[in-house]
Amino acid sequence: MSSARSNRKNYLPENSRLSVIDLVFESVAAILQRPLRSIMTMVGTFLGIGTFVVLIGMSQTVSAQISKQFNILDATQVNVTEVAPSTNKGIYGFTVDSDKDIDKLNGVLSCGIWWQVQETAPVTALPGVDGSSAIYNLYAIDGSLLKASGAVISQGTGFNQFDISTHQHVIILSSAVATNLGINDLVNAPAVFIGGLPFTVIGILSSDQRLPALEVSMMIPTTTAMDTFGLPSSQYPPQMLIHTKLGAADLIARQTPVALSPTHPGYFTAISALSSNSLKNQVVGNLNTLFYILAAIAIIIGAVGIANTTLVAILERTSEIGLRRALGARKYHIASHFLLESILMGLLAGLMGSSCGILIVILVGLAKNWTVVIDPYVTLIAPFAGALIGMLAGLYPSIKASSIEPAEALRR
Amino acid sequence: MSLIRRKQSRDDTFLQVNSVVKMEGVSYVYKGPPPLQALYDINMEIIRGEYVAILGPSGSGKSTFLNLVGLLDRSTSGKIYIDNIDAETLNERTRSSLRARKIGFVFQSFHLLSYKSALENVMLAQLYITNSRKQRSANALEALEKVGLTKRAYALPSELSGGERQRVAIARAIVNKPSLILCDEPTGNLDSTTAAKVLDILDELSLSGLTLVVITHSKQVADRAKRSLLFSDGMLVR
Ligand SMILES: Nc1ncnc2c1ncn2[C@@H]1O[C@H](COP(=O)(O)OP(=O)(O)OP(=O)(O)O)[C@@H](O)[C@H]1O
Ligand SMILES: [Mg+2]
Repeated sequence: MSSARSNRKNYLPENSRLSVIDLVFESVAAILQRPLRSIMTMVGTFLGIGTFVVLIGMSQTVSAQISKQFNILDATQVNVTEVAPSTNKGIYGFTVDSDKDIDKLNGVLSCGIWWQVQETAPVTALPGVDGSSAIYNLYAIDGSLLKASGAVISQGTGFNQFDISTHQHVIILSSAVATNLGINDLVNAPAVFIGGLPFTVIGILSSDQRLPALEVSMMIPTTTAMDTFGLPSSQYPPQMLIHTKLGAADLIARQTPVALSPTHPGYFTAISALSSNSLKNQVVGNLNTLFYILAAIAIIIGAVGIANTTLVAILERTSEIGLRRALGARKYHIASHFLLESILMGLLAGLMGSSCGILIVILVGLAKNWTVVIDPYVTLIAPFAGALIGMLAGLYPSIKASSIEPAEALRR
Repeated sequence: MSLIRRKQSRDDTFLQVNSVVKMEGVSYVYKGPPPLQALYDINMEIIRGEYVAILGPSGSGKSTFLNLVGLLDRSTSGKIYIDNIDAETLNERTRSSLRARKIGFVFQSFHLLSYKSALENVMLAQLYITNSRKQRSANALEALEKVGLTKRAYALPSELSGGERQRVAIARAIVNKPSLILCDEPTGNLDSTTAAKVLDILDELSLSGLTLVVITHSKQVADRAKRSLLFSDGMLVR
């Protein structure tokens, strides 16, 4: 007994070995020499990673597209209101020169002042045109407002400098109001009476992009409004609408209070159409959440499928594992060989999956004329996610398969 | 060897040095459930160069015995020496290396990898021994030549006949020049003509000095062996 023990050292052969090159070679050979099997094993990872990339890519592309469409409207509009009660000698916080101060700012396309006239008397058209009378919203607007608000004048004109400076009794009707009053055209210079005072209709407004309220109202010059109806009430303070170049709205909003009143910028608040911005964020956010949930589901389903096929693929080769063990492979050789195989297949499937995913996103983008946006990290990480999935999926079965006795493995 | 001579008495030396397989009170129980004792107190020894046939009815424990000799499984109790090395106390790493270098296997169902050519299958036996691919390939071709299959070296197992497949398996078993070749019904899946050719090769190997242990049901095989061990109900009766 003691002799056998002491002899052992002398007689023991060298350990089994497997060089890294041979390990890689064996793994690659096993993948390439059984192409159909390998493809079947990789399908799960391929679909999982592919779907993941498509969903992430689509979510980013669609979000960008939505933002872009929102921004075209949003980022070109600033609304300015008066905060503090007017302390200067002017008629209201805004001065006659306010327009010019703002026009000077870089990025401003046009701007205009408006307010709602509080008291409005019943309106009737000229006797002979129609006898009906009703109350409509009346707005005071300056000469450049309609340009800034993106109004479309279907007949006649807006107010010119003469109308403003000479306080003319002229009026613009929205087409809805004009129709109600029975005014169809301006050929005979129709007039309307507000509380008995006559105003000549000089224009008909058919739509307004940035001040939709004007589409169901009547408009008179600011100067005329003050003459006839007094100063703007605190309930309906004067406002300024600024139309800016694309993307300049935020900057203009910040500069406006100072430009209007260098000494008291706090008198004004200027807001670049934020209300619809938060709507946009909400829409994009909801959409992203949806896509991310789908992507997570795709990757989970993929991973479960992969784990399953890898498990089956390795257990199916139990007798091969028994043979390799009979030929001298150590447990650790077997485990690393089969693990490397599933990692390589995961990597390969991940690469192909993310390539196809990107291709699909690009094709959809082209078909829809969208700008394709994909986070480069997603495309870089996806193949490694495949490798990781392959590794995790292969870990359990390869360790399990290598740990059974070779006699048992050979029987399978 | 010098160590053996120093520690052992002179009378023991011859036996010790030439003992390839030795079992002392080996028994084996399949854990089940239910547990099943397949071998009872086996004592035997095989000397270098012997050609031993293992006989016995189905289920008598022949394969179980061969698995223990081949270090493919561990005995439940008792001692097993391979080339005088007490194999039962060795760790997994050393048993693997003993299998790789000292033992060649030939199975009834060939156990060739279907995705590898005949040559690659033979080379596989050297994968865990030598890092040189060139060396592996040269040795494998030499072994294939010994079984007369040089021309079919690049064929896949599916392109080979049953007899040819078993000859590839024999080439794989001998490529490492082991001390011991273990065959579990090597001709079980072959017709008698093909079987005869495979047995001729085994005869040649035996003549060249290799130790052979062959499980068989066939009289044809048993007759060629110099000695036979008979199993019955898990016991070695002769
Ligand atoms: N994996 C196993 N689990 C449980 N019992 C087993 C297992 N393998 C074999 N046995 C049982 O052990 C006994 C010996 O089996 P063994 O395979 O050694 O017989 P054998 O002599 O090789 O038979 P055969 O000639 O049919 O190959 C049998 O009763 C068999 O049912
Ligand atoms: Mg058997």
